[in-house]
Amino acid sequence: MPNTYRVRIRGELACFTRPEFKTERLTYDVITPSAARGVLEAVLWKPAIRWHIRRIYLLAPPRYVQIKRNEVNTRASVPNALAAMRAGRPYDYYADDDRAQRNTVALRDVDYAVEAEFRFTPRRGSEDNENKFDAMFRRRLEKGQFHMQPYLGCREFPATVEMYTGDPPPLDETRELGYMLHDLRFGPEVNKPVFFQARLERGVIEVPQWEEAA
Amino acid sequence: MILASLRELAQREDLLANPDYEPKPVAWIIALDESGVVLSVIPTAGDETAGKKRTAKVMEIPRRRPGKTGILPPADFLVDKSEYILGVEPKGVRSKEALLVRLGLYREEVLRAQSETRSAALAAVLRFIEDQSQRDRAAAIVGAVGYASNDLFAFEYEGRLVHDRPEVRDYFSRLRREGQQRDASCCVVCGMVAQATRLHPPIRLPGGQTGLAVVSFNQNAFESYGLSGNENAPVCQDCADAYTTALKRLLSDRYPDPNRPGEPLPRRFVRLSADTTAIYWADEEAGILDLLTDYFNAPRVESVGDLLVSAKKGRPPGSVSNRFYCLILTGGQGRAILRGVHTGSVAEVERNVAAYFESIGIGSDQPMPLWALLRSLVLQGKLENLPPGLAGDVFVAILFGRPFPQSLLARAVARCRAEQKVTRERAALLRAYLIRNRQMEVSVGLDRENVRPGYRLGRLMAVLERIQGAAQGNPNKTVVDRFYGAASTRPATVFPGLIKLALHHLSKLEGGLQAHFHKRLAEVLDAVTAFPPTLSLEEQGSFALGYYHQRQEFFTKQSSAPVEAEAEEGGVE
Repeated sequence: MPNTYRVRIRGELACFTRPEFKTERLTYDVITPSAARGVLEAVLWKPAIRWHIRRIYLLAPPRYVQIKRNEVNTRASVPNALAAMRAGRPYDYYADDDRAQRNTVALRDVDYAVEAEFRFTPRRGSEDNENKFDAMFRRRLEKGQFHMQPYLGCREFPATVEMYTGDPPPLDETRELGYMLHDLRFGPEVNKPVFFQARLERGVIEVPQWEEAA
Repeated sequence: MILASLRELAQREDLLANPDYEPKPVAWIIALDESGVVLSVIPTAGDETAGKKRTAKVMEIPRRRPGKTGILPPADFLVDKSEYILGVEPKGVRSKEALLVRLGLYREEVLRAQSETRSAALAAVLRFIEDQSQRDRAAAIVGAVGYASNDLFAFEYEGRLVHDRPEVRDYFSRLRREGQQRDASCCVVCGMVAQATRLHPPIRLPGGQTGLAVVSFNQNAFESYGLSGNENAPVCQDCADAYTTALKRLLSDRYPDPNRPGEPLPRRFVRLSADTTAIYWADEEAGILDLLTDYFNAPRVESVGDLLVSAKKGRPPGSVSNRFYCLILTGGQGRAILRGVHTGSVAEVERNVAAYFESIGIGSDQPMPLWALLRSLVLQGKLENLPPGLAGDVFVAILFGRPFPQSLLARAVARCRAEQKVTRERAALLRAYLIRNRQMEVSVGLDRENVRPGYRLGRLMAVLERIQGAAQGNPNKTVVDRFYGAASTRPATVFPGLIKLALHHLSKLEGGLQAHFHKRLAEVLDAVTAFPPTLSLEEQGSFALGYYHQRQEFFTKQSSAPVEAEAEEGGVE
């Protein structure tokens, strides 16, 4: 029986961007399972394991804030960068000629507890056992260690991660949240997003298993 | 969630009875006979009414295609502009080649339709298209009367509109359901596995540009995972039609009610500024939805009175489980931007709107519209000068019971100072702000018991002004004009001097009046132990309110049976 960990994730700002509103970012009301997985992977990830999110507990009511930011319209082009490198000149790009003002509707002061477990992947080695990763995870969580800064949806919104002690308790709210992104099925050719019908029940969202949601 | 809820709205209001057609104004109808000869070209608009442009008749036409730009702009099916149908356009902007291209694209559509349906009506249309002389005739007829480049033209054959015929409708429905062969994906809105649409139908924002898509990825910085365009958010055709139709309905002034022909559906939007609009709807119908727009634009005494009474009497309010949604939309960068998404329950919205009207009561019977209140915050009352987000923030604060933006207080106080005047609208806003943001209890009218220094000093200012008016017969520049700013911000510097001045004024008055004003002055000064060196912003707000309340009290005393000589002395200031 795999260990289940309950991890508290919180932060001042969060944006779990809805795919349909990616241009002018609008967040989902709660953390998506894929973002939660991202936070856990930031703390501990090895090729041998994969995190699966079982439940999400909502510890603070969703509150929104709107930010407008100056961004740019285009992506950097690899061939152009290589050409510039070889020619010994700078990459010819002026952000001011390419301005895009993008609005973001983000969440403020978020607080979640995530119940998750890790399972082994085909890349498990002979020495990889549960205790090893369990100890690693607990130790890293305790110390505040991470591979990269855990973030809430967007890199600019850092998250604080710790073990969930049960306090504060989940909010007593029940409502339908509509279709939410479950996760992405990364593939060699195509990356497919998979959705699930999210329901908040007394502050708890049951996340379907990886296979079910597909 | 938002798109899903919009889709439900569309279903609930039967907006999608015919998902492939949409209501649009069609300006001209070309009647043909079977050989494609033009019988008549009739404008659908009525005569010009005074002041209003003549409006073309709105009809259900095949959905127009988005993305009509570039070298090969897609032609709409059967109903389209003069460029496509006649090969001409009024302003002479398009080159001959461009017009020919458009004509050709249009013709292809009709040809294909005709060969599949074998419809006589379509055959007539086809002959018309291919006959240069007929096209020119039609062009001449409309040219003589005058037409716009975006006027839509429809065809009539044997007394029936061609696009209304059943075989044509069926063909068009089938056409829309075909698509490029692509993997089906999970629709973001309904969760069903279906083919995703490439382009979502665009919407038009009031006062804004047309053809804005809500879900769009029009630059490659907005795409991820190697997906391009709307693949980034797959939505099936039905859902795309549903949510955009719902948005159009919410944004429209007179969206035709599909169940009651000729009647418009009730408005559901509030124009917040030149380019920002707020739209709202709920999961189930509720009475307050119909009234909300009026509450903000033109509130009537009876309806507001009803609202306040029902809140107090506990009449059954909107249900707590009925979700209320409010979106703030603005156009820009070629997209429709969702500036804010807010939700709550209908019950709480009712409560909050009632509380808002309660808090802006300032002793006048007529409740003030929101735009009038906001206008009082800017130079020359021009709404364009309002900072962009303010109207939206205030609107949302009212609906959802949130605190007003801080800038409201700062602006109201600043305007009072700049104009040396506290208008009724600003007083109402200040009262509402202090009640809501600072949880102060602020009376509607004069509060004699209020001992807050700001309030008292404001009252004092009004009394001093009155005394001066009585003594000097209402001069053009009163003490208020010269000293309001300093009095409200640095009272200790000006009030001692002003009081000395007032005593001089008083000595000029006759006995009865003098005694009366002495009493007034004493009453106000009673609670003032010292003049504070400065007043905080909040206290400046109280100052303005005190000043306003006291002045109002003077006016109302004026109008009631005047016993004292005061009535003769001071005219209406």
